[in-house]
Amino acid sequence: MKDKFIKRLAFLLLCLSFSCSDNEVELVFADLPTKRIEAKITAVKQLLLASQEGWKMTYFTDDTSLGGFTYIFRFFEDGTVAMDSDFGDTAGTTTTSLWSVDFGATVKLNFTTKNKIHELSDAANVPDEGLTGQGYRGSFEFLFSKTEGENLVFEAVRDNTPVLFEKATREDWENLSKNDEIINLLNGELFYTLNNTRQVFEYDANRRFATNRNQQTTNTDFGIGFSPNGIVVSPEITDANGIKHKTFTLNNSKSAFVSKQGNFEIAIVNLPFNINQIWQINITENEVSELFANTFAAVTLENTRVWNETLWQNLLFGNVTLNNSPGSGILFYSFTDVDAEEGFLVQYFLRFSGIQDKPKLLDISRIDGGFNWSFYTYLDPVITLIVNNAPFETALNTPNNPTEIKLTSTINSEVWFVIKLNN
Amino acid sequence: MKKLVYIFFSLLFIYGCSEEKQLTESNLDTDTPALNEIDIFLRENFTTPYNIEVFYKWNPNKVDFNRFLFPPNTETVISAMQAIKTIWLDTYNEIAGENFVKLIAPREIVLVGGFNINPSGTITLGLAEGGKRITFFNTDFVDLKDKEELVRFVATIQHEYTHILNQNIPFDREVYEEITPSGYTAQWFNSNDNDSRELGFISAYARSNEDEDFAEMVTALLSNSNNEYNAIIDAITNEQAKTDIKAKEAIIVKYFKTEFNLDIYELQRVAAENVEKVLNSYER
Repeated sequence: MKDKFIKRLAFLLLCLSFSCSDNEVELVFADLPTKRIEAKITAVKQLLLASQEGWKMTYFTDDTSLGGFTYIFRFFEDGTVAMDSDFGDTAGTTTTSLWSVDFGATVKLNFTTKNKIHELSDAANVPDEGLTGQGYRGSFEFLFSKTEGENLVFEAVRDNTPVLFEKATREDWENLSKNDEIINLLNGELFYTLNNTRQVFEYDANRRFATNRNQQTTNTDFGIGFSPNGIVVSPEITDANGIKHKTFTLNNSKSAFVSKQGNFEIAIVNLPFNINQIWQINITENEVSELFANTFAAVTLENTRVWNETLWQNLLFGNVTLNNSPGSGILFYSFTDVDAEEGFLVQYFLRFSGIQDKPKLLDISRIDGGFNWSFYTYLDPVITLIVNNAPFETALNTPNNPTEIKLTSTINSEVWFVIKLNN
Repeated sequence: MKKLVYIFFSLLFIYGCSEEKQLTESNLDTDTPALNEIDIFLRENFTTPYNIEVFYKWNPNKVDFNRFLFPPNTETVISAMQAIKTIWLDTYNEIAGENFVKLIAPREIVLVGGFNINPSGTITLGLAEGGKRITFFNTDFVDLKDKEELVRFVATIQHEYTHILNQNIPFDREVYEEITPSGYTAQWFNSNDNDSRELGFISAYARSNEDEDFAEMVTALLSNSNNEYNAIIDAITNEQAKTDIKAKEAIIVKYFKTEFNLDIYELQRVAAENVEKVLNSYER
């Protein structure tokens, strides 16, 4: 009996001695998680505040379909941030909003009230219909990743796109508007030569994106960001020697961008004028050649024969975007009732391109029939006349912002027509 | 002997784990953040009197991450919230008493600067979530000096607040949905307001379901003066449609009277006056 009692007592004592054991946990890290998070938030805040002239970044929101947008911002202790950009309606002005450093997936910079950078995330502000509801696919929250020398590396919260914040200088603020000169320089095509093959890219100014003409080669497409004296591309372009090229400077003749990383360049092929406007061709004696007029007269007759409609004796040329059918080319109008101006629009898409070292020439080639074309294929002789006699020599009424241009075939001088800016 | 053992154990219990650490300060930063002019306005007009928090700074947890949205411009916040206060809060305060909105209110109002564009191409103006939160979209694009835009903007909260009232006390849905049972459609956005009125609905959106129909009816009543509202109804040519809308109106009048002891026509009168008050404040 006594034995049993002692055993029980010993057992209880043992229990008690362990129940009061030291429960201090040895920390794996230097401090508690909350303290470390708070410290990190403070540290990132201090990093951002430390740069006297702020930071600049060229943000490629999605380099598979869009280019880069440059922002310069300076953070202040009172929670405000001043910002300028080479993108958007208020580019060239400094606008102020609020910012904070918060904790999300990790410590992040949050531009908490509206400023220029939010224009990239404005669902109603899109480069084209393809991005309806998505704006320019941008973020305005950036997860802090690491420091890289004097630079800060962040990741966009939406898709973890890496973004580099570089220390800005006073010159960066002053020279930002010079990006516009480079932006306005590009309106047509770009090309580079790789393994003796010319890779030609169509440049979309709205998206700041270059797409390879050869649609089989899609992995060469790249987005373009701008600097005061050149461009930055993303993804980087790898040359035949395996060297990667990212930063380019405009050469003196403004005909190419030369790589800073080595012997490689991207040539600019511009159009002789802004074709991406609505131009009009009037089928009258002094505005089109006899051959052009006769070809048009023949299809006018055919149109009356087939549909008993009256073909409008004018054509729209250049930007012929219709609501659901965007693009460039040519637009016919076939009246069912001339007085009431009722009828059908007929659209044919054309490709307009420049020719390197021949700044006055405009090349025109076929793409495809557009809206209603399948009902009016007999209008094709007009298209054939134009594309078979391209390229055209262009004579502008004024060199800057021309309103009237005469296009004369370099193949057959009997083919010419005048285009006038349609207001 | 037994006694001694018990005393021994008691002592062990008392002294064994006696060491208690004192609580230290929180590791989190609990300081009151610096308040700017907007924060002070919102605290004084919404948070302190009504326990409604207004979020204008970006908080990704309050919105749909899959939409491309952005926070409002700081310059628009005070004027937008002042308009909401005058036309919505002050109206209910005057007619229903100060405690009405204090007791039944959204606890959070979220302001979003940009448009909320749906995959169908329609634009969502506002959201009410679980009776707790009302979200206003495109606050940056509203011209509050323009009567039509002002009314449309505040209509969002009149509409969403109706949902909150319904979530507190449901309306007689069975009777309501029998008035125009065949007119409800998920493709409501294919029709316009005028066509919808000829079918017995006050707006196109009212056709989406009976809950929205009810909220749209209340919104129409509180977004127009009595004369303006009657003019809308008089302009309908289809007599059956007129009768249907009036039947819906009767249910709403009864709902406000019996459930909340409120005369909706009084709310309508004061709301219309307050719209003018906001417009006049800009003209000064």
